[in-house]
Amino acid sequence: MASNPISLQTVADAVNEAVEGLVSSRHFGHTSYVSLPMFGPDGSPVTLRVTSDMTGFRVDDAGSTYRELDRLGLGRSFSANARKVMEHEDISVVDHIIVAFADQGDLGRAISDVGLACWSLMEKVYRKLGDTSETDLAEDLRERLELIFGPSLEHKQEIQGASSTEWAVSAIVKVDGRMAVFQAVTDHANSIYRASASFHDIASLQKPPALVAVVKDKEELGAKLGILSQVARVIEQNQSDEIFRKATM
Amino acid sequence: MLHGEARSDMPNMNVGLELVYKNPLTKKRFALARLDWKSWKNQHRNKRRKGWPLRGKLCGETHYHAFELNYVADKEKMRPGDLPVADDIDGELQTFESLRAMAGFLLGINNIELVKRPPWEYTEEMEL
Repeated sequence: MASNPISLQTVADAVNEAVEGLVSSRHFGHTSYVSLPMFGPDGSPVTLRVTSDMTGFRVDDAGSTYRELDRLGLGRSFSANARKVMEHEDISVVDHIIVAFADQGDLGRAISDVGLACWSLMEKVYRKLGDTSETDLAEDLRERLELIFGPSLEHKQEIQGASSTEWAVSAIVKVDGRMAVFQAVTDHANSIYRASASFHDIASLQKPPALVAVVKDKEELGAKLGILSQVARVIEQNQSDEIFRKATM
Repeated sequence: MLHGEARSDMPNMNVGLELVYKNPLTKKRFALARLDWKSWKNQHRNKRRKGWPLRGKLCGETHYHAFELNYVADKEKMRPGDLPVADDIDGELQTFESLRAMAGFLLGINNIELVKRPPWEYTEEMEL
């Protein structure tokens, strides 16, 4: 099949144009701002401030990494993770500002190091947000169920399966004489297999309750979603109250 | 709630006005929509994720992270990140007052004029 070849010059021009857009700098008086080809969770590039210092240059993030986390209530995560991210680098944190000092020879490297530290810190905090533990998920789930079902949410969190094994579950709800068992499940294999084992055992009861696995994101479970959906209804934690009510039927 | 940020050392630029939801139980917060005006970061670039709108689009220093672009209706949840998808806005917002009016329009807030002009500190350096 014939195709239009891209000339070498076109490739070179296109690459040059793309590369020019990857890093940019702006200058206001004695302060320069450098935007790097690393993007935060909001899609904005990591941007650093460069000023002159008695011994050379000061490179910092102007406190933006902290501000971006703190506006969403994640300021404590900045402090908790900053040291770990920077422990092997010649970078420090002063008043929530990530900063390094450099001379002309290593200014470029200092800009890269501070930029990478800012990006890594944000990435680490946001990855943890997405990687909710089963305990956190279960706590959020019980609070949610309490709002939806009120006194129908039982204090009891154990149920016996057909094998007489006593299974610990996240929540038990009784509505109009029907019972539903909710289990918070993360995308970790252990969480999925344990929930599956308990669901199979409970489903073998003569009069089994409705079984509901509550996950953060079905897509993140990948092929393992099938292990849960064989035996339980799988819903995501942020779905509507109506979905939670239907799941008990 | 409406949340706004500006920097005292960056007058007439770098203002963000956003709607934030705060979960009363978990105290967790997440943004629902945000208008960024003359961001000091100079630009915004959307991710190139499969199925996401405006994939890879490069937006200018003023852009709008619309709720509709960042909400996944069939999953009833926001896209992961911090409003990762944005688009340019029509027209140029030259003053803080015009930014504020646009934010009121986009975010559906009638009395947006209650938001005061930030107490910027003007220095010679910033005027260069």
